[in-house]
Amino acid sequence: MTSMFPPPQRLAEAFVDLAASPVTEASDPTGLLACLALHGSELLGDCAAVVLYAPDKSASVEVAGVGEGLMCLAHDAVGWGEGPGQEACGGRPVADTALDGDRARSDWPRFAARALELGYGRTAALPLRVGQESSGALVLLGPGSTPLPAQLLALGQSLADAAGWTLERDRQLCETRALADQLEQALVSRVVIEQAKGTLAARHSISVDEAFRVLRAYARSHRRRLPDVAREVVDRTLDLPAG
Amino acid sequence: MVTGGAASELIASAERKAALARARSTHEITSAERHELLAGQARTEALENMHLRIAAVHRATAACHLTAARLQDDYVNRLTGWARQRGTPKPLFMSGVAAACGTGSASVTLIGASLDQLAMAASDEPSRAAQELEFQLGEGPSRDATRQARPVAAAGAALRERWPGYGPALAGLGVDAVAAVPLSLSGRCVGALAVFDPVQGVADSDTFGEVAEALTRSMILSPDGDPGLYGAIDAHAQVHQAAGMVSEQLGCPVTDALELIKARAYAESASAHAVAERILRGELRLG
Repeated sequence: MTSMFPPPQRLAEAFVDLAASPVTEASDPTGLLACLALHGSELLGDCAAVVLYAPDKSASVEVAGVGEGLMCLAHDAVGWGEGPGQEACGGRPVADTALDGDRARSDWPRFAARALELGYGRTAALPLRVGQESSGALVLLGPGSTPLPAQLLALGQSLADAAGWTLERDRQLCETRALADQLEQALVSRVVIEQAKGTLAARHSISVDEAFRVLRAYARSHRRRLPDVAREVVDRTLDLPAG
Repeated sequence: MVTGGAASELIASAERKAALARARSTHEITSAERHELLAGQARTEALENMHLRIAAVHRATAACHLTAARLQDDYVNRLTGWARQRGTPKPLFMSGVAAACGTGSASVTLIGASLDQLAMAASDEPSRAAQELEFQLGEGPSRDATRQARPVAAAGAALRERWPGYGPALAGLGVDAVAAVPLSLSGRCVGALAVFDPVQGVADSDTFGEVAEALTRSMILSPDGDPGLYGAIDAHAQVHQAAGMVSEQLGCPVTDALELIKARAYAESASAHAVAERILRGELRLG
């Protein structure tokens, strides 16, 4: 395999693609993972690259890669629960390993056999770190029996880190927006509930505290959200008796 | 009368938030150092630049968390002093926010997508009065900073030019300068932090923006924050109750009723809250 380091211009492009775009909208992780797999395949010599992404433990694993055979292997490996990718998802890199060696045959029997069939001889996997967690892996597969150079693995880890950085910012962005939505919703609900209290109090000549009890009792007995009931009272589409 | 329990609970809560903010700051610094190390080892300029850029973001976030921790420390100190000296007014979290901005008068206004003022907290009487003006007139620095999602500052004649209603009324309160920064995070703006008659230079200092970001990150948009600012936020509850009442009495939409209350308050140089209380007590009927 070629051990030539990629030209700086190509590397710069890859890092810009993976980590330099300003995050103002949550990006589609699928697109970013595909981008990581593509850059990995193009920049890391003759290696093929596959990306696994499992942001939370229970959810299904997303897979990205180039080529049908490789993608099929990656999906099957997830199903089997074996392979270097699964190991690296735990946070520790899997060093360069011969696919026809003892370690591969005993730890990943199905994965190793299929990868050998596809013409690969070496593999390594690098964790995809998102914030403090390891949420996936970049799996590299090299042809022939020449070990994957450390320099190449270091570059692969940098590409994975760049993508992990963007995924982390996306996650923060989604969390912040959800909190902002909740906050606004809570404040707007509060406003309409207060208005409904006043409306009902005037309508039935009762106190605002009594009006609140009427509102709450109606919402409970009709299994409806208090802000929705309040909105209808304020809009005069719902008339509540004084109780 | 607030019980001793309330003071100790507030102190515990603020101490927890301070510790959390410090831990987050430390974590960000660790991340920054890791990327600085990686930048030093990078074989190409592209990689070095990437790590340096990521490190810079971590450093800025670390500074923000540290500012947040200091705001909590300050509140703990105020609460501790208060717990020893009963009979003095309960300290406000906003007083520390104002002090961190280099002023005595600061306000936080939470503003919805419709640009309505949803809730507010102020450090002192002038800032509370200024916020009330913005509520009544529907124009002013907090609203503009939120809408434009960028800092706003005006002083002297510019106040009157920029806000024909709010400017002169603010001058009437004896306030000559105002500055506001958006409370925003991840491109979402939920309101503004404003300072009144700040010390020269505060409006264009990084500190002001950093305090706003610290507040947003640690209190307003944090899973373990407190957007109510320790119970100090005012959601205009009575004003909205009175608006509902007026709407029913006049058979008009509640938004119109709210405008009537605001107009009445402005005409009487009273707070909307004071007018609302009279309506709720049946002493005042509008229309």
